[in-house]
Amino acid sequence: VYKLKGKLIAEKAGGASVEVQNDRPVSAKTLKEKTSKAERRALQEAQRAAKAAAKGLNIMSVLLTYGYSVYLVYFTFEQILNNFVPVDHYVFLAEGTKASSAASKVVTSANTKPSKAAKSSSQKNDGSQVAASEKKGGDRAPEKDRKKDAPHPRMQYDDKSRVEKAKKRAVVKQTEARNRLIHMIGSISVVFISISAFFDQCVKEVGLQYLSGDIRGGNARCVAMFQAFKEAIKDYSTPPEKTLIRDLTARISSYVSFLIECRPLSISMGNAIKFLKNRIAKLPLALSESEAKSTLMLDIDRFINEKIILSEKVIVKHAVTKIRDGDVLLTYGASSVVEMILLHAHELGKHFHVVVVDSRPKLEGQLLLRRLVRKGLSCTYTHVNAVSCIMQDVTRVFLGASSVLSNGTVYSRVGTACVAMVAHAFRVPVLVCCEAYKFHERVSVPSAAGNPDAISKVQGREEINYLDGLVNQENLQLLNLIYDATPSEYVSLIITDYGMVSYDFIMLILIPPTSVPVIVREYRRDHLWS
Amino acid sequence: EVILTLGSSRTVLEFLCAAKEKKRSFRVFVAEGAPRYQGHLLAKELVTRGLQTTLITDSAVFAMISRVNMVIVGAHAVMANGGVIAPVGLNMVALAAQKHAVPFVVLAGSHKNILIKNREGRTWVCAAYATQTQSLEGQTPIPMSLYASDMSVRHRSDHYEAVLLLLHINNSFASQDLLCPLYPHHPEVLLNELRSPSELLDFGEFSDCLDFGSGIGAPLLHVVNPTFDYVPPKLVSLFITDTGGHNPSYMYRLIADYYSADDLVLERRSTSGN
Repeated sequence: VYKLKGKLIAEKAGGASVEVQNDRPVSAKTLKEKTSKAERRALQEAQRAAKAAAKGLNIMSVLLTYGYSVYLVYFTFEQILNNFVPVDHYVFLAEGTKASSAASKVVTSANTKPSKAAKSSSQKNDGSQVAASEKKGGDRAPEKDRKKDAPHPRMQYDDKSRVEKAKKRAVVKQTEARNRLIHMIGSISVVFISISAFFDQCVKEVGLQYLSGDIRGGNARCVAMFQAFKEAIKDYSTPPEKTLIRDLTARISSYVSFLIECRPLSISMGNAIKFLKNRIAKLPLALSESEAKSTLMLDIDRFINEKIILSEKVIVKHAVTKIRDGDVLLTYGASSVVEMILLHAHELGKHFHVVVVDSRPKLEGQLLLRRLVRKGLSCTYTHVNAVSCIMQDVTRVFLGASSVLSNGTVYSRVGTACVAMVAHAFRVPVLVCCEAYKFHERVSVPSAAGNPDAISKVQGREEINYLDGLVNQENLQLLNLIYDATPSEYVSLIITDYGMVSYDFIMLILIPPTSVPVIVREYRRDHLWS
Repeated sequence: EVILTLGSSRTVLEFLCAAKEKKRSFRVFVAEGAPRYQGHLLAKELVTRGLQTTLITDSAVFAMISRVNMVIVGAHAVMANGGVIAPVGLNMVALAAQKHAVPFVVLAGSHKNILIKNREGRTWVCAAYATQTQSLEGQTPIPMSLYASDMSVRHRSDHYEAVLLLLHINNSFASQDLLCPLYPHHPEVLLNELRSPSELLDFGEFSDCLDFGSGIGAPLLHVVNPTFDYVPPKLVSLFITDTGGHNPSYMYRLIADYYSADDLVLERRSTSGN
């Protein structure tokens, strides 16, 4: 049942991406036909396997029937660095939710045994099969340490119709259960990824980081995405008989759709991608390829620098003026800008107390809490349910935002609206800190839901397992919202920045939420995206 | 119809099941009610009885409240002014419900009534905690920042044990005497219990942050884990008691029915006399 893959090249990281790139143009065409057949066959097998999985077969047989089209991603951790598995696999699972949930159940019920088998077998490095990738919470192996295979039947992804077909059949199904470093409780996370969009090493890595939750937060995701795109552009070479502009745009779109499958884009990322496509489209045709590429990379750098890094500094500089000695500041979740504000204010010598409010299921506040306490701030930690008890002592509320909409609605992590509402009821000013590139001209956004299984399991408290075995019932649904919209009347002030591309200085604007559409309209087209 | 509830209450469960018996069709959103996660229990119960339930996190309440027709909750205790001592998180839900004009209905048996009375310059707070399963004897539910100057236990019966907690907060005393810097009319602090922080934070992970004694200037990390929330009467649309449905402003009459007139004003007695 083990089927070997045609050509798998095991390479160490560092040289990996470069060598792959060199190989690709040569072998791409020869591999193309094979892989396209392989592609179709793989999809068929996936469907078959999914049906078999639905009957509840053992994980080993399930994954083995995929044959050589089985790929998995394996992340290394600090603890098992010596156990590096230089394999790079993708598993794809066709079919709808029932099959995949059954399969994922099968997978998660299998314990450390298959993973050990995977380690030993994959160390043989035949490039075949299996096992689950283990993910441990919180640690991300640095890129250098990650060793990867570079099989990547790098299909040229020109055929959009095949994409659609593949998309219909393949579903990105995430079933994550975080493993604990110390205890190694057997919760295995399996990452199922559709085969459709795998081109660049970096883009794929970023996508997987999104999936696993290693990169969180709008700014971090945006920066990571842009770094990956920079790498992709650097390694890009125009195929013959195609124009750079169109082909590059198409390629970027394909990357983006892959990233969307890993995790739906945030609004700030959407804006950033629009910027990039704009720049590509505006490239003068006379430029040579290398000049075009370097221009683009410079543009990306400038965008990241001005719109994200510098703007954060500006926001911090002006937000700390709002903090007085003796303040009790409340913050919700983990926002990068708010964290920087608090740390900067502490460095300036102000005395204040921080209340960190956290919520399930991500419990991001704990990360923020840890970082703040390490730097010496005195903090109080509580749960979102307790905001009304704690709000009487609070003097200011600082919130981060994923985006600010045109009517002043703040689109942010779920629960922010609750906090803002309670603050409003207690007459506590709410200050939202948001970079300007996150502004959006719409007035409402469709809500996004995350992984529902994250609700039924309570991390860290295994005794709370009331819902075990009930998840499959028809009557029960789990809803895990990720974002929510805070109405503008709860927000007192929005602190933002302005990255004027054509000016020498950065201007700060403190605006009431009702002026947001003015800014979006007046400045957006001309300045932000010029 | 869509109903929203938070945490778990026996009364609410029976209420919803009785509604199902009467062939009402509705679905229920249950907020899980961290950190005790009683919502999971309630969802399980409802599902086994055949009701359509959806489990959501507490933070998602504001996002979902616009899709909800009614909020039905149980109460831990009901105060004479119509306010409710409810599991933590319900004040947030009540505020959201008021903003979206969703009726906020509280189910409470009349054994859950509390008395508050003002007299002269002193504030007497008398609370009858009637809980069917818990015994409060020996445990003094004193909020951390206040002292009780007088306590007596009365009214034991087969079904419940009630503890009368008398707090004498004399305005003429300086606040540092009693460690009570708070305005006395904050029931969410007065009548609250603070539970163990381990429900929120894993001690093992944060043990380095929780070192209090390790030198001057060590950062202090407080973890606040209150059990109850106070919902003011203006947020409650309707009380449903065993005597029927009532306005919050009517609750004081029920208390007058339930407590004898002698109990309405409590005198301070010397401790030896008790």
